[in-house]
Amino acid sequence: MAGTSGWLDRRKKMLSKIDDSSIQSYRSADAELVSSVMNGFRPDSREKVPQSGMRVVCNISSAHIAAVLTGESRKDPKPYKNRYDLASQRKDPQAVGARVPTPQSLREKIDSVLASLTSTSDGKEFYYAAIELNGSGIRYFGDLCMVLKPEETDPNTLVLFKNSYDLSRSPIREEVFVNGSIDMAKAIDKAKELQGVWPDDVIEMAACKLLDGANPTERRITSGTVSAGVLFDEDYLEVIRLESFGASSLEEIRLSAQDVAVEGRVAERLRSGPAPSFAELQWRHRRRGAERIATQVRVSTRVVATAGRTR
Amino acid sequence: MAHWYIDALDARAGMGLATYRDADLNDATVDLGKPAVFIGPPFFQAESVASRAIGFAATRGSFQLGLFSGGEERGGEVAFSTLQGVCEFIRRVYVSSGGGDTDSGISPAPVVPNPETGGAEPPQPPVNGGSVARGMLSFVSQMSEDIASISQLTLSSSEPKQLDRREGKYMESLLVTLGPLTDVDALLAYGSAVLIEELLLRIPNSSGDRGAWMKSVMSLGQVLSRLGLLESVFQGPEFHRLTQLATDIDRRFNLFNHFIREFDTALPVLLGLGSYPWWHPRSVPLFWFAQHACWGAGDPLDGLSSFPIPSVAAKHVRLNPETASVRDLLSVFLANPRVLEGEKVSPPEAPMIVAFVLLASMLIVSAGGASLARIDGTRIGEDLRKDLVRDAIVWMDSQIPGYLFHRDIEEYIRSASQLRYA
Repeated sequence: MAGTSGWLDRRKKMLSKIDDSSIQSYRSADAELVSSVMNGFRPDSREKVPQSGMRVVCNISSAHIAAVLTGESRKDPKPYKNRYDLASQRKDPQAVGARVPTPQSLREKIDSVLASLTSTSDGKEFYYAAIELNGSGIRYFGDLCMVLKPEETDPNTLVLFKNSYDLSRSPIREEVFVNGSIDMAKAIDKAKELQGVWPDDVIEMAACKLLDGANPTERRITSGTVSAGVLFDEDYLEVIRLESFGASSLEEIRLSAQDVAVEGRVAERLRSGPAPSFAELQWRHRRRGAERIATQVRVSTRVVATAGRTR
Repeated sequence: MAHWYIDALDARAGMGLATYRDADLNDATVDLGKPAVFIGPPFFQAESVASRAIGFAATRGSFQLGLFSGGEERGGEVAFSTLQGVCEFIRRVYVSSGGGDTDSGISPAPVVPNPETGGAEPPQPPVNGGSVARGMLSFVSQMSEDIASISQLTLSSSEPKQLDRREGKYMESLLVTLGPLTDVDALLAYGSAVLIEELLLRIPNSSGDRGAWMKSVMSLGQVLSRLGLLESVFQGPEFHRLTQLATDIDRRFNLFNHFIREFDTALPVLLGLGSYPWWHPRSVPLFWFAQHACWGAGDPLDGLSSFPIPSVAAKHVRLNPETASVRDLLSVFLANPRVLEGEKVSPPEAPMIVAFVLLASMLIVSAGGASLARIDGTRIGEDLRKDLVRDAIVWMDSQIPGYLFHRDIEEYIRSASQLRYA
């Protein structure tokens, strides 16, 4: 799978559809900005700034990070685990909460669709990640954003323009579901329209994502807009890695400024009262533990104070 | 019939996504278009998300898909009657999971037991366990009865059941339930003595490991000093036994270059409370030397993580007997106080467990207040300590379950301390 999926053409086509030439020139300039910041260039040159530009990230809870960061030293072949890895560890599959619906669940069907794009038999070796610029990842998956070193993701790794589960919700759902069931052939065709590869297609995919939602105004976007546009809440570019990773693959761990502010509030409440809840204390305690372990395994942590620029 | 259902749950992380819908996770035609809510730590307030897709995406990592009981109706999915119930369920699971933090490596571990020490009779609890422990047992017994009353129906019955613990008969606070606290000092002194003994017995044979142990012992001394409990311990029934143990340890491992000659001095010196040449806890007022024992304004969970609990207490609440700490115990107790109950009507471990969680709660609520060390052993110090106990009980009351659920869900909450990522 090479970067032949035509994202550059798609971006050009999006620009050509803008009738007003003035607005079109603004959006073209925006696309150049997207390219510059995604590449991690300095504002005044095409020299790359260390630890900036697009990255592959995985979010994880501070409750689990110790296992991932210490996995390599414990000779765990898969320190970061997908659902299949975790399910195979369960000793009591009938416990409340543990049962996975059968026959083939929606997750397995979506994985099968993606398997056809990655030439794998199923999704058991899929490790889902996201493209991030200056932010702290998808917080719904965990409060810690693990940033992979760029070279730790194989070139030509599959990247999707959306969360692959969007195949199962409107409006794509109406295209790929027949009589209430997913039509695999149609779903695969649709997924092909959404596919690209790391790293070759990602910049153009990001440009398309930004231009798709851009206002028709004569006002330039900022690097902060680019960062927020690449990954905002649950809207992101999905990366399907085919291998796990551990601490040695990490460039850094990012913490969101909002979470750090909450940590500060918990500390302030401890000092001045009323006493924080136990859940707040436990959450802060785990996050402090995460930073302590990250230091031990030589992974730096960084607070993302602003998505607009790298600090 | 629509209820609140969980789409994705990471119990250990305390994160979940839920939807108001019919049970459909076993249905191959599941529609992800419905809006959903995200619930996570540390506040567990529901937050809207555009669709269920993000919840399903989460199940490709550390989240499990749905919450199932194994029943036949609703595809076996567990239903909640209110969104508040879902939030409270996830909060309680999160708190409970903290009982596994030591074994998960995220929390500093206490020193492990030394197989070559120990064997002595443990400190004796107050007569009849003390009124506070008895009151707490009565309190959780009532909880158990209520859970039994809502567990008559199957989990997949037409109307899911949950009880709001802030309503009806529960309007009476825990503080009122526990009564006047007249003998609480004896319980706290007992719990303190047990913690001191457990820690002293764990002295590592290897000198290289002794630094962490000594830091824990000194930290415990500082905590007990801060809470104004040293006088109770030093004037209590266990003082001579603990002192003998401390002296034996000093002689065997030569911790202080044989400088400690006064028998009664070994224990306070080990606890980091005074200069070894001339300290004598029974002849010199404690508060004269309280400046040696000021607990810093650090994270109280750090200290609590380094205090091991005896194996009998750990086993009683299903924690690892070798590594369980006071902090682990506090997690599982606050998530489900019914861990206090055992097979017996009045389990012998109950006074110990109640003493530990009370001491831990006192440390948390006192973190921002003045240390009681400087007035330990005085009448006014006793009054202030009792105020602190009341504050701790009020805080505990706000942390224990807000909602009670079917017994299968309660068991899931309790077992969350066993969850591990790897």
